Amino acid sequence: MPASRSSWRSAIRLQQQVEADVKRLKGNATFTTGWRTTRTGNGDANWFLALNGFQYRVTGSTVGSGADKKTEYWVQVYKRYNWGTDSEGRDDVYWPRKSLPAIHVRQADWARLNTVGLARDYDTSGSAFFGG
Amino acid sequence: MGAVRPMVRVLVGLCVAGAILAGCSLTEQPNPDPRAYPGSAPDVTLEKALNDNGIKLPEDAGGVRFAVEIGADESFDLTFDTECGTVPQFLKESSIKGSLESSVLLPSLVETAGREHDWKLESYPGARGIEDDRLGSVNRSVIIAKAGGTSCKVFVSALR
Repeated sequence: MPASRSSWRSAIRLQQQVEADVKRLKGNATFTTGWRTTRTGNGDANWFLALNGFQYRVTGSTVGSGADKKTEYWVQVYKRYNWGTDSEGRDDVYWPRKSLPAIHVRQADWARLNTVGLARDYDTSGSAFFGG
Repeated sequence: MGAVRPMVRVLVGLCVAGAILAGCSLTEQPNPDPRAYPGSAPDVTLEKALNDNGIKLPEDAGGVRFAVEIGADESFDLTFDTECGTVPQFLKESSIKGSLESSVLLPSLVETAGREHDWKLESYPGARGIEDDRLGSVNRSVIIAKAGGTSCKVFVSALR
């Protein structure tokens, strides 16, 4: 996935959320946000279509003392994408738009791609350490 | 021959007009509802989004704004003003099971939406929130903030 300006906007969105969380929690000897939900937003089509909503967790600690005191933390992200079911109530897929679609894929057909093995559910996960 | 040229001009003119119209129709149209934020999915009405996400607006809701984005998931952001006394009824009628909590951390889904829509959530120090309340396959988060007097601001963000 090439890093375009818009993909950086999606990354910055998570960075801002993480920084807001750390700002509220730092100072504790150890801390965790627990798993929380956020999203990439539609600034970048790749991130938006592949991920959008996902879970993240920040766990950290305060190390050192006096002038050397600092906060270190891990950020973990997780998302399981599934192709859905017909009864789930998701919208059909239209391109370029619903009112004048060149392509219209019914949700039942979309879900069937997974049922017959042509599309697979997938997991996205990753982690990064800040500090040290 | 003299009669053919005007006909050609008319046909060329029609082709050009047709091409312009076709080009215009392929560009993304805004959501026609003035309450929709720019970039909200053009074909999803507020009523449909409320229904899809199990949200019931209070009768006195004012200042309603919303946005729907459709990607790997469909997200729905909503804000409105209401009398604080109607909030418990709003939560009940929207089948929100979680309880409002004052916490160091506010619901991250709503905070993310707030940065997109300039909700200025940091200006409500007494805000209370509900993180990740689930209704079937819909994941919803709520923030309630006092907005002066008996008025409250409600911020909702949902994914499904």
